[in-house]
Amino acid sequence: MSPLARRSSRIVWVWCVAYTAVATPPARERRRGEIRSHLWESEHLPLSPAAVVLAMLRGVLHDFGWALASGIPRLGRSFGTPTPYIVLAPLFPIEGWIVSALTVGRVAHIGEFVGATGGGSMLALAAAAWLLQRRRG
Amino acid sequence: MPRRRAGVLLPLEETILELGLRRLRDAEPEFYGFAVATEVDGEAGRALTAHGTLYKVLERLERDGLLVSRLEEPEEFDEPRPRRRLYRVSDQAEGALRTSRSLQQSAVLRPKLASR
Repeated sequence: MSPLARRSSRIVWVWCVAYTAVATPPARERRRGEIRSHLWESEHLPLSPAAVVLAMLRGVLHDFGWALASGIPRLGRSFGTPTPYIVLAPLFPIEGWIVSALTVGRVAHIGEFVGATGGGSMLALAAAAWLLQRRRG
Repeated sequence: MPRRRAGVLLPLEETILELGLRRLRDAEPEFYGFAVATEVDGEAGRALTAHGTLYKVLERLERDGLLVSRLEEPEEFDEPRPRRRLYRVSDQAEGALRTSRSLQQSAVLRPKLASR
């Protein structure tokens, strides 16, 4: 296999790993298995590296659609746990600082207000999700 | 991809089912994604079918009950390669293809009748 073919397969594989990361484990394994097999066949036919990358690029929109359809129910369920709120909490003060540094007047005030209160709200939501989770057992 | 109308299959879905039915008649009922891509591209004389489009359509056809799939067993092949997901058309496939074609034909005929 030429270095160019190896590189094109690598690009397709990295993209596949990226968009399947949000999917449920069975859907993810299935799609990754299909692409792994497809790339192996492409390398052994052999297809031109450009055609392999082009075939990936032409399907990117469908990959996005597939990832959203497979990942949204999972993402929705994750908001019943404290993790996403804990992840989001430190982003609010950062946002407040950036908006305050780059803007003036009303926009700066709103940005600062969101930055000052958002983190605490997220932590409160995290605590509520944790309590709910504990109550559910 | 064009918008789907109830009962009408998309061109790629029709092509895959045709291919599956042809394979069934040739007593080689199983096929896999890459084989579909190369066969479709060969027939249409165009660039490789997009990965995302192809596997999304295969999954949808299976979900709609027109295809069934299984993962190839390691004993079924000798060369060191990833396992293929093997598809075959279900009993409903031929009927669905016929319905889709007749719906498309009636949609083509209707404007002609209206213009008379």
